[in-house]
Amino acid sequence: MASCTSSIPSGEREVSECSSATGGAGKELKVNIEFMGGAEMMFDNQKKLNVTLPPAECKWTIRSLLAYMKVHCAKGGGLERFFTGDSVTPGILCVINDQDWELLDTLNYELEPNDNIIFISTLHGG
Amino acid sequence: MVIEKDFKDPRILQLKEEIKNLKLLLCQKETELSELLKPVAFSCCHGPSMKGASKEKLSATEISRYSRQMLIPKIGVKGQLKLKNSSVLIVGVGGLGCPAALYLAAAGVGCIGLVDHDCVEINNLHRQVLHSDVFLNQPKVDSAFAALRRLNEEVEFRTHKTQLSSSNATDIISSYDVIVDATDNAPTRFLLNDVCVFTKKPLVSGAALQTEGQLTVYNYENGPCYRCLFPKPPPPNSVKNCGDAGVLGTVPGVIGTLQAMEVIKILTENKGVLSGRLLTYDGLDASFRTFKIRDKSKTCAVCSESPTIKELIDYEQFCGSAANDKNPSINLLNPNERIHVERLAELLKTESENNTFIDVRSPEEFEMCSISKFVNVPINSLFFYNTSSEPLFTDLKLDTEKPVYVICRRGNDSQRAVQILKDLYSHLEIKDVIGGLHSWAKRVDNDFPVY
Repeated sequence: MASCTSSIPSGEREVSECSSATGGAGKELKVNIEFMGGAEMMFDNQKKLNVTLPPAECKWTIRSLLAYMKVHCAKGGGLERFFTGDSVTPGILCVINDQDWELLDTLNYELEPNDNIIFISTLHGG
Repeated sequence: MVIEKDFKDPRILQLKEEIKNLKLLLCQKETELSELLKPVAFSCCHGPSMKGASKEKLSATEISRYSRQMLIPKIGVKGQLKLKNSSVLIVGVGGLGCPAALYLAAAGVGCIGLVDHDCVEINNLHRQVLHSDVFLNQPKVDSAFAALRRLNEEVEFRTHKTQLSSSNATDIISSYDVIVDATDNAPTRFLLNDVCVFTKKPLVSGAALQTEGQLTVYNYENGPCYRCLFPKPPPPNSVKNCGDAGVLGTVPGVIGTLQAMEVIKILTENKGVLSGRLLTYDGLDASFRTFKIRDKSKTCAVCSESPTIKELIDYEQFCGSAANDKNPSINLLNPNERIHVERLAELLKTESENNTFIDVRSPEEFEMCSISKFVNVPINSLFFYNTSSEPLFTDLKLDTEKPVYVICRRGNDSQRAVQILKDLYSHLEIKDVIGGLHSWAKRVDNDFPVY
């Protein structure tokens, strides 16, 4: 299982969007990321990543997690097959703790310690 | 001890040919017979006519035949009669459609329709288990029909040797109770979804690639449809097909069988249908997982109360890709940046020392077959070099002065590779081989494997 711990101080992150500190912020946050259906190809073929997110001024969300993953976890070319805008590319489902992210405010979902985030690339083959 | 036989013995070859022809003839006769036995008017939509058999009760033979599943309280006589009076359409008679059709025919579904416009290719046989060597180059629906009829003559089979399209889909689909999506491309999946929404049919959708599979049921009772989950089509370059990425036969075997299970649950009105949930199967990890997915979307373009799409559209245009799993040819280079396979053959014969030959397929493909003198530099590693700006040729210990010739499977990736290499080594003469190894096999070396 690979890890994706950042050695870059939080001040240098590109993803900070809010300035006021909220509850639970200011500490490292560990989440588990999994890839299915080929989404792992953009992440060095690692199907599981343990990510330690650096302390942030505001709560980590799926949106800022994606921005973090783009900088720190993604490898090689073809990233547009996973990232589109500040979200994932159409055809990729995001599942948070076994539930579709649509049931949990999608990009705005606030991460909790040990959340399990799965990115499922839909298959079309038969 | 193995006794070696001379398989080029003319008598062996002759017998093989004769047996193959007899098998085909047998199938032809069986088809003819089943045409004669068919009821005059076909009526799937009002329950199949079952070749004159009773719709209200099961015969002694039927009771014996299906007894093992009828013993299950959730099936029983009632469930078996429901299966007998139902019709299922299987779209795509490939890796998913074959096992799905096999189990539905065996279970005694009254009428099974099969849609596929493709013919059986040799690279289908490892996973499309209804097809066999005898039916190579024959329509898949005919091959499947022959195999299924041998399994259960009581089932009424309908074959649709056509590509499902916006113009024929409604007609074909409206006479069936449940639709199985066993297709291999995004445009057909969107088309099937929309037709099923418009005609109010449950859609049992499966997919498989490499060692993973996915399964869910759309448009069932008040559950979501495909578009609720995927309002936008995936970008064409993000979709991988079995021909490029590969697929292990057992994976569509598992998913297709599970599709048959969902169909049986729907037809017998059992609970627990996989609607609003997505099942994933990871063959390497031996894990099945089920995730709760969103409800029917209030803003869905087709199934919401105020739909924006009210009739079938052009799905190839919508998805930006063709409704098949074949790769279109691309044209990125000028004619003077490309050579034909015949020229490559000359170069390899007379000037192989003065040139560099690069094969940009994956290491797995290179190991399956390659032309000697070619070095393997997978295109993915070129993308990587391209971003990392590490010197490629030092790494490979290749001569940086000699002209470079690039080949791939069909002549698409080789063009992309030439473009990347030209950016890195602008002083070099770099060309690709038109049509790739497929052309090589066709025009230079007929014994070279085609896949």
